[in-house]
Amino acid sequence: MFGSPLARASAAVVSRRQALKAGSAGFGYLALAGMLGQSASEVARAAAGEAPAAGPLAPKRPHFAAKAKRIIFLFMQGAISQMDTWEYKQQLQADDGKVGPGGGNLTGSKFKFGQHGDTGTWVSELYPHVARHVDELCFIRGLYTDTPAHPEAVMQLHTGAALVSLTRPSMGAWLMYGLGTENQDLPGYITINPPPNFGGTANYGSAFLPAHFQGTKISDAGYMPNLKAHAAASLQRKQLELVQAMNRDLAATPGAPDQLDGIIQSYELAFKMQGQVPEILDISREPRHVLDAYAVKPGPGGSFARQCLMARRLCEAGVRFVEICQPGWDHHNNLHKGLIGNCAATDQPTAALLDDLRRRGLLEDTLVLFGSEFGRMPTAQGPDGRDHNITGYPMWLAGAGVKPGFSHGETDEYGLKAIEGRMHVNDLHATLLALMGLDHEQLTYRYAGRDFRLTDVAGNVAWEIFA
Amino acid sequence: MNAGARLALSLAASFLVALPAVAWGQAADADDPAAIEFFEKKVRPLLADNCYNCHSANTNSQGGLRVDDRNGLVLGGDSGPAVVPGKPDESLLIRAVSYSDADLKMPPKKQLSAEQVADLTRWIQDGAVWPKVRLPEAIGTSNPEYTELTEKHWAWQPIRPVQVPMVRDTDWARNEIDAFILARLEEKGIEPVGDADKLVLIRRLTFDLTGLPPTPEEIEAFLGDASAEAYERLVDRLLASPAFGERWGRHWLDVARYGESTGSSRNLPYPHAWRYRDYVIDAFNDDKPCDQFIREQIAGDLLPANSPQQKVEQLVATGFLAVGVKDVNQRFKIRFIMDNIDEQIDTVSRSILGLTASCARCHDHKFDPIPTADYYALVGIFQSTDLCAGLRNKMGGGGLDYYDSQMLLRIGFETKEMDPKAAKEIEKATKKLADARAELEALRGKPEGDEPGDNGRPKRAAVRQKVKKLQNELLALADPVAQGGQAALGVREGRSIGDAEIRIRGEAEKVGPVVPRGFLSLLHIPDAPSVNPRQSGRLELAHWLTSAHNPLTPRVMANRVWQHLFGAGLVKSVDNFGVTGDVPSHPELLDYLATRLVRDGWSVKKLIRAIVVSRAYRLSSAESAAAVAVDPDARLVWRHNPRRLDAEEIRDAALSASGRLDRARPEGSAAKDLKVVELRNNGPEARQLSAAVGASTHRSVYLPLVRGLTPTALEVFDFAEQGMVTGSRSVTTVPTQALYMLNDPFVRQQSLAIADRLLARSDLDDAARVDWVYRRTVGRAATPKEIARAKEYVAAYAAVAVELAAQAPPQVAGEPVAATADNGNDGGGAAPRKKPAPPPNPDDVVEDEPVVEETIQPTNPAAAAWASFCQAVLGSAEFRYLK
Repeated sequence: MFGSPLARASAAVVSRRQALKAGSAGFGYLALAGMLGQSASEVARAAAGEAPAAGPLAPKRPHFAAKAKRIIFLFMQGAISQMDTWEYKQQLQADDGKVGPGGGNLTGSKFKFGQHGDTGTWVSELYPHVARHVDELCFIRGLYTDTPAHPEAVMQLHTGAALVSLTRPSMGAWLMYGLGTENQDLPGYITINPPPNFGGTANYGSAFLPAHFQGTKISDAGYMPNLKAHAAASLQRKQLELVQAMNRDLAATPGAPDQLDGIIQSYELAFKMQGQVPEILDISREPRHVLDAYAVKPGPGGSFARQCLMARRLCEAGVRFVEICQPGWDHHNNLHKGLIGNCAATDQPTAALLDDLRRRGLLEDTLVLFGSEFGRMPTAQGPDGRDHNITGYPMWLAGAGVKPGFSHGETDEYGLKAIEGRMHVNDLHATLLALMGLDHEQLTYRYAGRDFRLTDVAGNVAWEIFA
Repeated sequence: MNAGARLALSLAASFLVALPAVAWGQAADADDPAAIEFFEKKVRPLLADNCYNCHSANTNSQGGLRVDDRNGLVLGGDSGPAVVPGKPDESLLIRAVSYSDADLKMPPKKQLSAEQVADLTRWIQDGAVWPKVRLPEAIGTSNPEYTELTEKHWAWQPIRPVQVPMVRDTDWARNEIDAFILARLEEKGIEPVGDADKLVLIRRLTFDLTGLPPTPEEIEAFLGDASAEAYERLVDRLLASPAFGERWGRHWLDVARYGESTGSSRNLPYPHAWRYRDYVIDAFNDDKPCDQFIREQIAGDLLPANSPQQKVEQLVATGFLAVGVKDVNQRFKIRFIMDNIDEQIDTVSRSILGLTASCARCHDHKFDPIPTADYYALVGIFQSTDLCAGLRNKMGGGGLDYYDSQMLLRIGFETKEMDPKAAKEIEKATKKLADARAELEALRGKPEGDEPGDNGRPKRAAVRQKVKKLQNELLALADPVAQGGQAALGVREGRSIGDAEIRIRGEAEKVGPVVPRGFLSLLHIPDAPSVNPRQSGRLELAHWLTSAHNPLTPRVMANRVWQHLFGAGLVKSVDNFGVTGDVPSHPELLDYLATRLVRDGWSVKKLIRAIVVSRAYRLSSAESAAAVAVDPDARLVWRHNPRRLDAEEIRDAALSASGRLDRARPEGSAAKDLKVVELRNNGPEARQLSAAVGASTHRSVYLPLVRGLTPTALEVFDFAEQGMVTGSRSVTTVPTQALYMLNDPFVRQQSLAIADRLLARSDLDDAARVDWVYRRTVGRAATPKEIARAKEYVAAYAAVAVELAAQAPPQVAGEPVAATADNGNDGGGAAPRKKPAPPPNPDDVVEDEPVVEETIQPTNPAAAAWASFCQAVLGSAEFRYLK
């Protein structure tokens, strides 16, 4: 069905409409030609006598050899306190209570830190399970961002910029644009449990990229309505052909909506999703020991565990980019109990995800990213809180393409400012794209007469962390 | 007034304003060193040693009371205020420690000495002085950047009279609005596209103004009316339609974050919220001046009323302040109160002013000139107001624990004082319930509770049952609805009126200096009224918001109207006119519209009319390569951007096509009979609501909107986020929508209903039937090509369906042919009906399991084929897009 005339026809529609939006120059067409180009895997498939995938979501060749094929992003929304988890600062502990360099009273972590693994990496007692994996983790410790407010920072982390007048495409949408997706029966970009605010859908939207590159949202219970077909497949296919014929007719009229290509794609995808998705999202099919390893349980307390397990199942099925979300890290107060709760909810599932991916050989081509929109201060806010810190904070990566047991970049003695290996959000994006085989300067899309990039006009790849 | 001035003023104010006995404000002599010393030496250690174990922030705070904080004592716990400053006789604390009340002896095991009781008494007598928290230096200092911003940022400057610009092409403009549009286009060298044809126009206008499709008859009439006034007549007819208020009222309900439950960790229904919904719809239909509309929502209870109906209407209007998200699962009343106030300030400031004032709760606003002191000036107003959502806070409550029928607005009968006899009975019942609760508490965790009681069941169970029974008795007595009256959500003047203290870093317990009640200092409003010291200040806030000198209110409102007609606001960030917001694409036009809105008596209908009769609104959606290159989003309005229908419009249009749409307003809401107990996503109430949604044929605006249980039809097409002010919805294109169109029972039901109507028309041949469907769904005649395609489709589909049915195992007569409730992806064979699901375990809060739907079954292959065809048309992009 991949090579159906229908799909090819819709691709043709894509080119006409998108070219118009892209502007007067021919760059749009060029980008599009690349976009529709066949990848090596398709050529192989063709050689094997299979029909190659067509359409804008077909797998595409990266710019250079990719280290990773897919990404799972564990988003800790609200800003996890690095001072109490991943960043051990002896000087901070020693100077607890003193006035910090930027004002405010330094406050050491109330949690015990210990060294773990062969690398002796410091991790606090809040992450005992993940601590067992430190030798696989690659820390980037010198991150910084532009805005200390959640909405802007969350948007910047997801889209590279937080400008109100022009929403940019999300990083997942850029990946879809650049690489397509491996499994044509599934959305290539899935976000589970995303925050409704802080930019909301813009954080997984496609902005001016075609609509079919946007992320599909799933709840943390894996529930997606209407996945069950209510007509025989052959009858439904017939019906779908009629819908698409009407859609193509509309696309050919002047003043048709830009989203038409996206709608056409979404029908093709929806039809195919009815086959695989119910099974993939049904985590109850996992054996008991796997459910227990992830600490899966019903209710809000098991949300992150369920998301981790769904993420693995989706990646295994060939989804390009999966984001999962644990909210509730904005500890201006209630830091102590809040951290205990949130870390407990994320520790075991995260470790289980790493274990599971490795055991299944998926960690070789899957990149795991863990982190927040910014960090928190080494100084106290009230009796039991920490304020936002945009000048220095860490994230960690694991799996495909990154050096295991490695640490890149550093903050000062208190963990306030990044001083070495500094990485702006744009640098993070450039690096992630590079790991996926994409040159962030080449991955452009022409809109309003200008070539746009995820990294805008900035971005340096942190080659140091590449394995 | 800058923050410094505001604080300086507060010192004077605290002496001038005589506060009632139970005042929010700190006692005037809070800085008296002798009083502080007495507290620190005698009182605090006493409280710490004897009470903290059970009544402090770090412990359980039994009975909701905490004594490690002055506000905790003054507000009190479940039994009421523990301390009444200056009045030890009225203070429960003294009653408890003096062991004079057999039911209230504290500390329970160790009576305080006479000397200790005397110390506490003296402390309360002297005003219950509590030392103030050390202030961070930043608070109260004025910020020079703020002054500059206040003077410079475009949105906060007064609206000045604007000149209608001169344009080169003098023929193009139909009205002044067009001149503003064309001037910018000419400046950029963009040529606007041509006008939309009449067919496009009537569909666009009818949906934009009423949220409904035009009927084939209305289309015919409009196309056949060649007179010059045809369009204006259409506009006036639509503005006068009751459907107008249902559409535009819903726009406001998005902004008012309307919902019928608390959301949050314990989701409790608001069974009376729908009255506010109906109020909003009526207000738009009546073209209530929007300054009045705003005043009523802020202070309807304080405005004069000419009739009992008007009084009720204005009370219901204050539901605006009450329908937000609340976290009732809060141990401390003060935090519950402060969080709700924050939610109110956030809603009021963003919806009416386009300002994010609640950012200033913990610190001065990081981008806009809103000092913390300004925020707490507003807090004073809302703190002097009782929020009546029928709820109280409690940690870990169950059953009806959260319901407080006293905290509802009684409407529909005279709101005079309650009959003293009834009041007495309520008091008695309250006492009995409290006793039973105490009894239950005493058994908690004790082996005694497991011992069999009189009826052989464990004692604990018996007592629990008693609590439940008494709770229901009390409810029956106190519930205005149970008394045969009616209730609404809203606000009323607080039992205590006074200014609020700044809370350091937003922490409810960290009390800073008092700020006088007032408004935001970033707007200079010369005729701003000052707060009446005997009232909350909501009345003055309402007037301040709608003052002719307030530039934000009309700008924000006019921008919202523009957005709903053009797809994007002149300021795209419709809820944020602050520094981090967008700048207007046409600043002069925005001011022109704002001025016009005010000049026309704040009439939204007149503003809409002025806009939709413009040429700019009537442009076609054709693209022009030259214009796209300069302005791809058509922000400058060189064309009319196509628009996807909103979720409600899609559902309403489908119902309209199937002929099932019930245009009448339903009585209340499907959520109106819900008990105020926690709603579980997979509980019986959720299923009951879901069934009600499935059965409803009313307009979507009337569907129950319990938070977390948004109907699928709305959810998949980007319904408003019910938790917060949502001035603009997003428009996504995702496979979930395609799945909805392919499989959802609602869509299949409507398709089948259209097919049934169609087949009942024996006077029509197949070509006429196809045409009939096109006219009722996409609002136009079918082309010959489309007719041929459809006929071919129906024939081929029916043939396959027959074939499949023949292959399938023999069926019981009357079983569905091609569509059943729960057959899989495996063909037309009928699957056995689902067994009834076992009752859900209440601890498994997972996700809403869809209810087992009614069987949707075409009676024969031809009906199945026509239904399938109709469904395809409903699924087409043309059905859900306007050009």
